[in-house]
Amino acid sequence: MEWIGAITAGLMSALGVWMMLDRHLMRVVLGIAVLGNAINLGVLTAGRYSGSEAAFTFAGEGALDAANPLPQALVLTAIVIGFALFVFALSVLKRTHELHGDKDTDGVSQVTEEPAPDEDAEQGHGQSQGGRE
Amino acid sequence: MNTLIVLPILIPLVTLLLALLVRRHHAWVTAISLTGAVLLLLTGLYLVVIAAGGTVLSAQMGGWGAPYGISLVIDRLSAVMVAITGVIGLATLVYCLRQPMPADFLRDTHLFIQGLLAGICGAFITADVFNLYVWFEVLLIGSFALIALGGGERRLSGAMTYLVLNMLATLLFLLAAGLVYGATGTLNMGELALLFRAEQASDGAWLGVILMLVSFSIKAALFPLFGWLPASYHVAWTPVSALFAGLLTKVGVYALIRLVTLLWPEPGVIHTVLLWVACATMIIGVLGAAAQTEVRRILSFHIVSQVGYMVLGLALATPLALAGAVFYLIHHIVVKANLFFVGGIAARITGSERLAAMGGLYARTPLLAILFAIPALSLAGIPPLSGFWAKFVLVKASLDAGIWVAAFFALFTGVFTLLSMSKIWNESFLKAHPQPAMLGVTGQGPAGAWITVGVLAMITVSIGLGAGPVMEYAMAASAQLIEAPAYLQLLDGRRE
Amino acid sequence: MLASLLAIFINGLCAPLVYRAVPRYAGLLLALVPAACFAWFASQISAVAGGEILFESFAWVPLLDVAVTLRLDGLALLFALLISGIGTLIVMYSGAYLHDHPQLGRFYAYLLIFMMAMLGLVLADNLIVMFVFWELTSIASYLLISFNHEKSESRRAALQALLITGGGGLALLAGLVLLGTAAETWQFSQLQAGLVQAHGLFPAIMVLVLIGCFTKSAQFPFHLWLPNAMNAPTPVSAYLHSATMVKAGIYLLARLNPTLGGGFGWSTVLITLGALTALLGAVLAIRQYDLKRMLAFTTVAVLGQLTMLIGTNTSYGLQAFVLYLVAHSFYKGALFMAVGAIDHSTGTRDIRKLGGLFALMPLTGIAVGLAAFSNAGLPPFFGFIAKEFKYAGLMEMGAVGWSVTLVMILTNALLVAAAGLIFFKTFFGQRGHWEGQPHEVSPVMWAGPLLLAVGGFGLGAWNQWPETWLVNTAVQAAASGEVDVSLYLWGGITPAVLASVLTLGLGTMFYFRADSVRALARRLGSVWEFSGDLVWDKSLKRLFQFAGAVAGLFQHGSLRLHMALMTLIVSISVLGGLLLMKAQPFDGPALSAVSLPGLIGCLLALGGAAGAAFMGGRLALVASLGASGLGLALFFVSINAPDVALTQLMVETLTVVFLAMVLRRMRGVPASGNNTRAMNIWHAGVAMLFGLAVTLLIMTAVSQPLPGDLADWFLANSLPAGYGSNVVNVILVDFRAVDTLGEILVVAIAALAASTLLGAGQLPEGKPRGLPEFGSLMLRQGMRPLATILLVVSLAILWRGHNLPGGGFIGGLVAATGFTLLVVTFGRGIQRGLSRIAPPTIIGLGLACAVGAGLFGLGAQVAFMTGFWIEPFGVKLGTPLLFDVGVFLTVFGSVMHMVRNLIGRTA
Repeated sequence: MEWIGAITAGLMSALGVWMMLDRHLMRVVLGIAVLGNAINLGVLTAGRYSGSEAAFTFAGEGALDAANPLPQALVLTAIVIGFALFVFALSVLKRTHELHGDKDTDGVSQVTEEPAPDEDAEQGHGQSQGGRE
Repeated sequence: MNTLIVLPILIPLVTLLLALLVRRHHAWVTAISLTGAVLLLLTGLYLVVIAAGGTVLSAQMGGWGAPYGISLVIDRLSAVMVAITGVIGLATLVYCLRQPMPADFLRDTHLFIQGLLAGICGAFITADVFNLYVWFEVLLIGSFALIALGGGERRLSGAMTYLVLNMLATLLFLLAAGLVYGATGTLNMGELALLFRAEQASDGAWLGVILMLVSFSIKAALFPLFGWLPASYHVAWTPVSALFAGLLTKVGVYALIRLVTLLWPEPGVIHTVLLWVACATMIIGVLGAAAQTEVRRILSFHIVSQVGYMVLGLALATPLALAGAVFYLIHHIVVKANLFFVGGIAARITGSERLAAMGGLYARTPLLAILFAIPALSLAGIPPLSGFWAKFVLVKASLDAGIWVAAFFALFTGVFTLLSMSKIWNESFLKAHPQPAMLGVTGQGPAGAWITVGVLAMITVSIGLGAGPVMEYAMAASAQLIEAPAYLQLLDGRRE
Repeated sequence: MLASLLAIFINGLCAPLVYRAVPRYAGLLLALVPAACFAWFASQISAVAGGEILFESFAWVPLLDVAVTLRLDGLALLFALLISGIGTLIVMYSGAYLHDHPQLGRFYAYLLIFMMAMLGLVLADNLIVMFVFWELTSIASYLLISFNHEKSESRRAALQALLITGGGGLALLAGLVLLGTAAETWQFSQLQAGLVQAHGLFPAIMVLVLIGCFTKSAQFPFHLWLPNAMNAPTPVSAYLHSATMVKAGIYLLARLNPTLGGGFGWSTVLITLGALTALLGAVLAIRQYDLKRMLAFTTVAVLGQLTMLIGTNTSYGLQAFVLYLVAHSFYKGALFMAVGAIDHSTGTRDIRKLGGLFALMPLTGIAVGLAAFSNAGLPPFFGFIAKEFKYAGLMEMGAVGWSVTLVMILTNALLVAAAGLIFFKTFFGQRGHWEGQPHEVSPVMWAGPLLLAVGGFGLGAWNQWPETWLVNTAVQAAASGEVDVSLYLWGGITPAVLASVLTLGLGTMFYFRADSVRALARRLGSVWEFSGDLVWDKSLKRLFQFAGAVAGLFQHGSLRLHMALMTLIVSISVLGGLLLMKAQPFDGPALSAVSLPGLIGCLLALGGAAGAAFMGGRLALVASLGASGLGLALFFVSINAPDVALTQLMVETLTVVFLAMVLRRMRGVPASGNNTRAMNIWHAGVAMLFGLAVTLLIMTAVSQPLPGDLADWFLANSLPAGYGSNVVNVILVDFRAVDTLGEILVVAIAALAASTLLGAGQLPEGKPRGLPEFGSLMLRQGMRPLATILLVVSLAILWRGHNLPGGGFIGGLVAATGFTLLVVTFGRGIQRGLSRIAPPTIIGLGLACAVGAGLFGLGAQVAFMTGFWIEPFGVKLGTPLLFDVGVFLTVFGSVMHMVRNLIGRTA
């Protein structure tokens, strides 16, 4: 079963990377989510799928054949972190889309290589964004 | 000790949550945030004093012994990194004071910087691989938030590049942490060190660690994985890019130093690879800088080049070389952040950060000229400033080790650094401003900004003139890195 | 000694202030300190001449054996006197020369700091401290050359000088480090020639040190910066670029001559390059019309000869070296200052425009005359003795020396001619054409040159005095053994005297046929100088082009290319490691059995991901991504990870909701793929290689049994020590609570940051309403109870989480889902209706709970996050539960915050 997990994780990673190489930014951001899922699966797999029961221990019970709880805890943490970062990425995507329109991925990233604007222009950005709580 | 060791994480964290609760009152947020930064700095300095005395702090979170619970360790390197984080954190916050930006923008900056500081400090003091991952995530989201802050087409474009590439790095780290656990059954760095030092690590453990080193290399912006840095740093708001320039890549360098010294105290194949990577990083970074025509772009490429020096010290692996790397870290963080700050003031006065559109600063503000010259010369390794000692030690260590090529690259890079710095000097200071009427129309920036650059320049000069004690500290830190007593003893109290 | 350095340095720092306070007298005031230093050094002459050596030392970086050790021996004293003496004159002179310059204050500062550095350089006994001062002189020189900073030639010249001397300086640093290693000491005074020369590093040391010295002292082929440095104001040229700084390289050569010299290589290099430089300088000098450039090239010629003289290592040679050094400093300083005065007075430095000035500027004229005679080596000037000894020194060497002598005769003949041109053409003959009315310059401006010129005359005429007090000890310091020093003007008819006569004769001839000599020199010289500068410009341009190409490799601005390259490098390094280690990923031990639900989950996850990767259209994208997540959740259930599965499920739900809301505003997403087939193949290759690497890595990791007892320990201790049955939850809130603390911090910051972006540019809140898609009345009616149920469920999940699947994360996510539904349906106003507390406050409170739970431990003097439990009414309550509440609140508040801003924006 671990091998199946490993292969699934590998294939999903490949798909995630493929998406992150896409010309449409939306798919790039989704690729982050797919790659994240793949890596989570990978971490869980590396910790083995031992045990035949979930990791619960109750008073009075003897030794049980429980799953390894540590990788689960790690992955749980990683999932939530991944979700938080994904939402942030989504918000960047949304704002990027509003500002850049329907440019493709490289069209957006190329803007960083344009010459720096003059000082006042930079402040203009500051004004236009309204920090909200 | 139990309290002291968590303070570096706790102070920014509590500052953040207090500031969050009073977020509607901008003055309070600023006051709380500054107080927090001052406390963090004081804690860092106190930690340095303790560490200099040879005390190593370590604690088990929740009281759960290693390797089950999470261990924190503060040795000399960690202590000085926390202190420097405090310095740069406070400097950035002071620089932000009264900047002509919307109040909400400044408030958010304060919040996110505190988050970032918590992540950075966490990364410096943890002795647990997965916990390190978590702190990396904290500082990553803090940096995402900061780099995108303020919006704007150009900034978001850079933020997107930064985000996607750093997400890749962080996911690799997660996988690596999982693999290391899967192959060694532990997440504790001390236990990992014991395993590797006893040469009992399996192939899986090696591969996991290699993947981890690769992901650190992305964070540290090593050749050939540094592409994200010059594509994004120059678009952030000036104080933000200064903070990043000073601290962020250095967390990657710290992680590299920590892991490599723990696992392989003796030079080996990893060191050989790192040596060549370091040389390539130095030279490619400095060449890239030579081609730039904007202040922050030049400086960004120099970050890459300078990281090469630190990794060079790590790769040489002699006590002196490691001390050089530590010295370089200390010196570089201050100098590099300061250059970005000065660049920001220069851009404010001249109205641009494109060299072609700058000029006239030398005649107009001699003070700024001095404040630029100090970190710039230090960066180029001109004595008696801090950078000279850092470079000198590394060159000496390379020559002592008989690795001439490293010394050659280190010195050669020095000449080019000088070239880049004199390029900024020539274009933005010496040259007359192309439109003299525009000079200074936007003011000179708030006093806080000037205080920041002044104090940082003084630190640079002091490190240079007082190189004796700093070098002693670095040397002791290097010995501690190699012997790693605190880490190796983490498991002594293991419950059977 | 240290006091003198400090005094001059402080003097330099105060210079701008002094200038601002008393601009007119600043020069005179600031000259007091160097003058006092000169006096002090002069007072040490007798002691040093008696063989005494003064030491001062204090520690700097003990760990590296770097101590500021200052040592005053004959050589150092000689230089110190020149530096402080000429320096005093120069400071006074600059006050007059630049009296109307707005940045004169800065100029004084640079000049004095340079003086300090130069003094430090010659006094330092520590190799590294010497280097510190060495570099400082380069920097000061840079600042002074670029003093007229708005002129681009000045900037170019300054940069050129900085790069050449700075680059050479770094070579020198490497050389010094090696020297220190080989000699096992960092003190000049403890270097042992035997030890160093027998060391394997000796050739490298020699080459590196020579590069350093040659760049600093403008030896061929590094000479080109010096003439360009004449863009600096004249006092700088007089002081740095003829009398002192350029002699730093010469000084170091002399200083290291006892250690490194003596061998064949050292002499050969020094004599060959020195002679070549000398001849080149002379040829280039004669063809100039600009007085200053002419002087610059004669300086190059003299520096070459000095280098050569050190190389001879004969007793006459070394005496000649010291004599020539002193003589040159005197006359060249005088000439430069006088030329500055002429320039100042007439507004030109072109010989063709000058003439007949003697009547107008007699004092300057006398100074130039005396200096020029010394320059030409006429008796009884100091320059004459120097020249005699030079020839004698060379001839001592035998055949090689004789041939070099011939070159030197030619060189010196040219210098004689140049001296003649400078003096006679300027001050006699036809009256020149100049603008304005030339007049004698102010006393400070003629006193300096005159003093130096008369000094040069006096030292030569009464040569007993310098011999006894200065030359002797200086020569001893530069020689490896004892040298018998005796100076004389007339030693009978020796070959040297004959050579001198020949020189003078040739020189006179050259002077009278100056035009044809010039024409010839021009033809020869154009090759050199012109190509030298041209090569410099060209190579700098090439360099920048190359740098541009390198930068272009990393600055293409294509995110996809960055991504592809980084992924590829990661895959290659991992797979390379795998191959090199000969790892066996397929050697697995018994692994767990394949389960059908697991397999289905995997296939679903893969299929969904593939759908998202390839299909076009927004709906398909969202749906397939959701399916992929569901598949994964199913898989998690199958491997007994219910908590992970639940979390995955909740996260996936929220992801889909968020995605749908963001995608509403975007136009359709096209199917994946690129314009070209090659691009498709390249990306697919990169992706597949990465996938392969991930798979093999995991397989290798699981190819051996899992070591360690972490799993067993957690299972065994969860209930007795953590009071919880759900081991995963106990790990999250107790055993590894710090991870979770970091994690909620990530969530909190992400929420704050995302909402800043999502809410950017938002208009003030209008009428609260939900998304139009959720406009149905039925839906709206059904939503409220559903949300309420979800909220209750979430609290239950939170509560039971310690023992059953659930916990703060899952609870928070469930509650947030409920609220999300409400907000989506009714608009963001509903949130305010349901709760008076703003989401960021909830986040803050959540973080406060989590941190607060940890603080109990600190309060009780134990570790952070240590759990404390009480049992009121038979219910186990503890700080880990408080922590879990914090997690719940943070996650809930965060998601709420994001949703609210997302909705507000889209509505």
